[in-house]
Amino acid sequence: MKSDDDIKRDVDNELNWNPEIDSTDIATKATSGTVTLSGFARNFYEKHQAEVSVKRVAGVVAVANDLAVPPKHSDRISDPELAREAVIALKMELPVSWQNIKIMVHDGRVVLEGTVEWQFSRERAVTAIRRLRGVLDVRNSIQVKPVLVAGDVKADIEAAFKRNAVIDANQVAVEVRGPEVTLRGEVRSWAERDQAYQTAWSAPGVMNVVDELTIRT
Amino acid sequence: MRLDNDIQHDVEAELKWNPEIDSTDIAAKVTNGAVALYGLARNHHEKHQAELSVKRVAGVGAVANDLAIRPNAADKVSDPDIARDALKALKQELPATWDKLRLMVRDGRVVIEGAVNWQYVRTRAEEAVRRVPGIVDIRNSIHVQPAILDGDIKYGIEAAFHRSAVVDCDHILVEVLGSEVTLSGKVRSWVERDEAHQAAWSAPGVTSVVDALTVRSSKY
Repeated sequence: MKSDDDIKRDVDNELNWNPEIDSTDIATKATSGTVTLSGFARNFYEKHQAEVSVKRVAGVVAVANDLAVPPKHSDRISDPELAREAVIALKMELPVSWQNIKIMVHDGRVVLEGTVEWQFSRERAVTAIRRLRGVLDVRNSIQVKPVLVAGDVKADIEAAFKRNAVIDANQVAVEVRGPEVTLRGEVRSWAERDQAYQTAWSAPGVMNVVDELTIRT
Repeated sequence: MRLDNDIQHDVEAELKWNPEIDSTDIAAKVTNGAVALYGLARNHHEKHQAELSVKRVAGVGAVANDLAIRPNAADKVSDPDIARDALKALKQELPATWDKLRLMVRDGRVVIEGAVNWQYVRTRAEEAVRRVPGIVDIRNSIHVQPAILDGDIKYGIEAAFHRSAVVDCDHILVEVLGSEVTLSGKVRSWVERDEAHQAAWSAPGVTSVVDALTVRSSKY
């Protein structure tokens, strides 16, 4: 297994390598494969990018993203103006679902509420808001309320895993209880974990996916 | 290598499975692991999603996306409206660099031009514009003109591959000529291929990355 020293070294190098991040004020710690990010990111998008970068590194099993985003005078934008920008961004990202999503802005911190049919809409709502100037934080309280009736969810997800180029279907178990799917087993990387998670959410009728996958190192 | 029939079956299942696309009028033909997509997509975003779906399937080595955008009178957006929305999208996506870019719109076909320092700006610009309703086609003519020419490009990329959880550095060769990087060898999936490209484009000073990688699934 990769040592924590090696993991920290690689995580630091990966953060320095990513041109989208200024890692000057980012501190990292690795403990048994769990990486903790602390310090400061310049904006919320960069905070997210730092987490994405860490997840690319071999040996990383979990990430705690404690990066703070201090309000910056140059990005200062009033709450009503940010809310307006957020609505425009959301409308463009989700031309059909935006109407069911409520946006609340307080001191640059955005909360999203409402319901959508699919998880992909829920995630794209955050993606749309995350990159806006002046955003310090985004909390996603949108709920997924499926409209399509579930078929054989377990069989459908397992078939999707089998045809996926990255997922080792033999190592991942799918358990279905009502509208909730639980994934258990081992994957080889965050990329594989993300694929499995996204795929499970594509089954019609799914309201929640519990990710209990572990990354094998 | 997987049989074309099996790949075809899985590609069709994956297109149906993706809730972001309506695959009713989308067809795929598979020849030696190369998938050709044809038929109609509702908009440019859906066309792109179809391509992403195909790339997830084990055994797919190459994709030719020949989907046309379905002309829909109700969705028709004027060129000035597209230009205005595209500009708005760029401003929101790239608050620091949008003003280095130029947009041209003609009959729903968009061309983006300009010089930027990094590939990620080029990619995000295209992603931003792709969301705009009414677009039929996007040509990304932005070119990467690095500000920094620093360090050993080959070494930096190989180090990035080495620490990656996804990229198998033993099977990829990195060659550098000036500011041009060529990646050759084998990857096991499009995810690995994309990660390799991402790492290559992160090296300061790179102006182009030539892809000579073959995607060969390790499953089956």
